[in-house]
Amino acid sequence: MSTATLSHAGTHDHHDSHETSGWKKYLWSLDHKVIGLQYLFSSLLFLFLGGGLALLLRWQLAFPSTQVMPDGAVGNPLSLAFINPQFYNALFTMHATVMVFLVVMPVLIGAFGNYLIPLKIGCGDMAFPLINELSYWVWLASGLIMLAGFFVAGGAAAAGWTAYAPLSTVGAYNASSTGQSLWAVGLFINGLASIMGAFNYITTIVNMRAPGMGFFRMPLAVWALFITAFLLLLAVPVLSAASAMLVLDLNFGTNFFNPAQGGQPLLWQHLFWFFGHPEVYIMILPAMGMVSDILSVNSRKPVFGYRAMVYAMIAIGLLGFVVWGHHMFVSGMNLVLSAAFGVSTMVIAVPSAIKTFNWLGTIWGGAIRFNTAMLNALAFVAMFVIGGFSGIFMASTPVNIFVHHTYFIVAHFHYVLFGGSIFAMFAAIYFWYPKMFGRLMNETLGKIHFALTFVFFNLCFFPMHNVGLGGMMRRIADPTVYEHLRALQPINQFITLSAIALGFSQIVFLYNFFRSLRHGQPAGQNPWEATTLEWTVGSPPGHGNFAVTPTVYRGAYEYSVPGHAKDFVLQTEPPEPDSPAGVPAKFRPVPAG
Amino acid sequence: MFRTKAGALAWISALWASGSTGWAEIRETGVWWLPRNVSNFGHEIDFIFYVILWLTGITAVLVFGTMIYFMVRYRQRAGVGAIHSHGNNTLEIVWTTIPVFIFLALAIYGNEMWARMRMEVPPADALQVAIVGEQFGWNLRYPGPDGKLAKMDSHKITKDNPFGIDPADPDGKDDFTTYNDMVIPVGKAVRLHLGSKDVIHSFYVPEFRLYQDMVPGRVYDFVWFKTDATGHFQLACNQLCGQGHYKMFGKLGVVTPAEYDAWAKGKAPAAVTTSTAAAPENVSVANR
Amino acid sequence: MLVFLASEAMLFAGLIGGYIVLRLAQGPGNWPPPGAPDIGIQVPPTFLNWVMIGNTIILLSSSLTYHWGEVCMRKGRSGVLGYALTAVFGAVFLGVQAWEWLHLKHEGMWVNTFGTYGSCFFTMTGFHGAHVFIGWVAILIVLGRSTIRQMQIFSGQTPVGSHTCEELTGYYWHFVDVVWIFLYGILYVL
Ligand code: HEA
Ligand code: HEA
Ligand code: CUA
Ligand SMILES: [Cu+2]
Repeated sequence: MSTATLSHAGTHDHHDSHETSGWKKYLWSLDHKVIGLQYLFSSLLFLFLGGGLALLLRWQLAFPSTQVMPDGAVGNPLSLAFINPQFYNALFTMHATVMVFLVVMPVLIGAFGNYLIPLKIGCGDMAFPLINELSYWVWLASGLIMLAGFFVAGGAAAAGWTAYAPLSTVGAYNASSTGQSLWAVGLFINGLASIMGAFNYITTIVNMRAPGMGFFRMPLAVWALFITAFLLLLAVPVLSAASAMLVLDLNFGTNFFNPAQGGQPLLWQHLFWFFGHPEVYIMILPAMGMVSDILSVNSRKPVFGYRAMVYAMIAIGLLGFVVWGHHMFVSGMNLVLSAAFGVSTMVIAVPSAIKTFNWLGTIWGGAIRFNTAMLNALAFVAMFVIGGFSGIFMASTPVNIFVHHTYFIVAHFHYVLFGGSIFAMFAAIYFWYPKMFGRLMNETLGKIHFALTFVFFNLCFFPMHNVGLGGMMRRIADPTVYEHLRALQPINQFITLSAIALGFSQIVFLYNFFRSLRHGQPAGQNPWEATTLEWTVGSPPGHGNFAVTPTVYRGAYEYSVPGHAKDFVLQTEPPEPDSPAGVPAKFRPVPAG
Repeated sequence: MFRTKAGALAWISALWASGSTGWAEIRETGVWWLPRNVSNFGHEIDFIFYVILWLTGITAVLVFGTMIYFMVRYRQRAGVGAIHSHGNNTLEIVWTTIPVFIFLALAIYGNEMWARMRMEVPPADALQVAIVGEQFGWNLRYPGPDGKLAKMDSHKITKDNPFGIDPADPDGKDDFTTYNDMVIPVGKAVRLHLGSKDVIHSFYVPEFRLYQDMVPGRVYDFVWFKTDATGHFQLACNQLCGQGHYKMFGKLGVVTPAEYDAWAKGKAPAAVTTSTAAAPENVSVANR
Repeated sequence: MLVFLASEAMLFAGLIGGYIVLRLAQGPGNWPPPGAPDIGIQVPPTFLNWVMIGNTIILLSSSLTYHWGEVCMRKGRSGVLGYALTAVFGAVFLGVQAWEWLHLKHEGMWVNTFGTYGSCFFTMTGFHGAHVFIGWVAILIVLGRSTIRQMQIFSGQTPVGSHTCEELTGYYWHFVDVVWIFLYGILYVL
């Protein structure tokens, strides 16, 4: 094939020629793999920070510092005195901000997006390597700006990650306006990084696929990231506009959201959720894509209903823009509009149903290998379904009147975000670690980590459904001041202890991660016997990825093809010599007899 | 490193040590489930809740049952290969259409209830109560003997005139106000006029199955309900409104009509001081 | 680039959407609020109206001159004249815009006066102005490149090199123009 010999260096002369080395490589490298790892390491660090904030706020809920004891005495020996109510508000605000903008998005999109897209579509790097590296540093800066809020007078932003106006936008109501401004500026800058990344991904996927890599031969992980990039591109600028208005209102006297001057507080909510709902799908679509790949590889079966999966993701992406009002059913917006948003929200559950059933179809009839990556991927499916189910309750407008802003919602989004995105993140790390570092992670430790995480995750978050139904509000620094919540306190303490156990279970993961860098079993090129392009090159792949641009002859999921010696067929494997290229088997003349 | 056993031990000892497990208050219902419901619409909300619970419960059993069965049945075994299948279009169509119908039915039924709770005009004889949130407490205004509440105007809400009332309004002469103290008669429809002085607050009473945000700059008059049992509850603010949000609550008593009358009789009419402002623009059922 | 512009368009869509909501919420007859300087088109047009109409025409012609520059460049000439005119027009637009801001401030209208009226006006024109400025800087670069090309032609060489920089700047500049048409429409006309 003439295309196969086409040197890839021709298109990327400017940075192929030299390989930066040592520390410099990790600080300023244009290579997409290094940038992916930069994202991975920084956001793992942020995961621990965000988790630490969560543990602090959980501690306060279990052992509140202003607690009124039954005998009237104030205080609790186990309370942490420095968590006052304002700090508590800052804790959950920054916990959510860190988790959403500095953990889930950068891990799924920044780290795996960067690492996998060029490798999976068969090109040497992203379309704009410089913009790519810039986006990492801009992202990091945005995180530091938001976190800087902890060190200014008044403390970090404390109006919730949803920053509802006018609490967030009028200095007189807001005890931490400097922190709030930093938060909004950080979010604006974070948006720039996301847009740069999205721009890069779209251009790369459209223009730089290897010969033969048609859109419908792309692995689902690439499809998912492709769709996610469009969501980012269209949703994030709206948040940028909103956060710019927030900063102006707070510091320069504009009145966008100030009702006293004719501004509209609900405008903030519309702008925020117009971004916010697509955002939650931004956080789940890449996870869905990667999990589909991992399920397929480890079931030794093609993804069930590949095209249905693609169309379902496109449907989620499109519908995601018309359901934002379900966060505002009881916010006082137009009541007919609420009803309409109720319908669209129910409809958006359908593509998720399609995906769930296709995942089940994928493991049906397989030869399932239960390695750690697979276990995490299966947990993703199960936890996502539970989280999706609680979404159905909230999408029903009358039920929402009751459960809105209770722990039922907290349970919902931790099931989809931790149970969904974070389990998918673990699955992806266990799965692509050997590609990234050339060594396998330890399976025994991996399984211990998985079991602990799975058990404690459920012990921690499932009872939140119950306390929520029991009437416990979110965002309250001390549930014990409410008579009807005092009886729930033992459950809250149980949740907290499970959360701590969940947090400490992650140490197993860290240990495994860092130990395996040196002591892991060497992985070889294709430890999972997978078909996609990244497994046709060395682990870790060299600079420029492919010595020769690969040519793709088939779809991404040819497992257990009848008549093949091995149970997988690489995407680069040419068609059998006896058949003319490109003619599907069923059209080939059948030998007589 | 935490092992399961050690974890369990740690809980038990910590729970025991905290000494806060023995709360004396007794909830009227179990801690693991919905609190009791005393409002008319609450029954409908609970009903839909249970419909969805059964629906998702059954689906969960089916989905997880299938999943576990597949995981056991199709685990990798020596000599048994996977089948090769790219999917099945009939199946795709089936499992797309069925959820579409289920979800649409749920949405339509739910919205019918929603319309009944939110969009129908409240009964004319309802007791009108004005509630205005502020950082961090509740202002309430009740009609006096004439049964009429002065008109609220969101543009007139100021620090000294929390209800945005025109001092000349004759309906307002005998109105009385309370702070963090709400009392309503059982069995009588209550219509709320909700407003806010500063940031968004929200009216939340789990036993009423009722939540409604109160956005400053507007007055909402479409929320109404009827209670069917007496009891003492708490009126909680359930929208983050600042430092004191967590303790922004008031007493809420649902009492017999006789008790209510006795309570109301003892209250002096409230004087109104105001500054004037622009034309009324309230959100009502009619001009949502 | 188109992808990037789509995202820029969403930024302005957010601002414009917010403006529409805020304006509708004021109800008819209250926009602009009583006492605020009316920047909208009057019959007969005021002096300020004429200035802004002129300014709009200048910005729109700058797109034409840019296009002219590009056409010349593709024909192998330098296009320096077209680009230079664009740069001048861009500068005039920004200058007039700054003058208008100062003028309005002098009239008592600023970001924090007249409720949301001032907030919207200054934020939206401010965001647009910032974009024009970025575009203008890019145009200066393009102008520099075209000058070099002109000198090459002058000294008898054939100018070589890609036109990507010019093309991308062009996209951006035309986009900024189109946004202005929208802003002009809703801020000054409707
Ligand atoms: C990854 C993130 C993620 C995902 C994927 C989802 C998915 C969904 N979410 Fe969630 N949501 C959040 C993150 C997410 N959400 C967050 C963070 C918040 C809170 C924000 C805040 O206020 O701070 C929130 C809040 C939120 C609300 C607002 C609650 C309130 O404040 O009152 C609502 C209301 O409708 C909702 C609904 C849904 C629905 C219907 C889905 C659906 O997409 C789910 C669809 C999936 C399934 C249904 C399961 C699989 C389907 C089947 C197996 C088919 C068969 C099923 C049946 C027949 C029932 N979500
Ligand atoms: C991806 C998103 C994500 C993730 C992973 C998590 C993870 C966790 N979350 Fe979070 N959460 C949100 C997103 C997320 N959350 C959002 C969006 C909100 C809404 C905020 C708002 O209302 O505005 C929220 C709110 C929220 C609340 C409600 C607060 C309130 O309303 O008052 C609670 C309470 O229990 C909570 C708990 C937890 C816990 C226990 C974890 C655990 O899973 C964490 C486990 C811990 C680790 C993985 C780290 C382990 C660290 C160590 C072992 C070391 C210890 C380190 C130090 C002490 C520095 N979260
Ligand atoms: Cu008022 Cu919370
Ligand atoms: Cu949503």
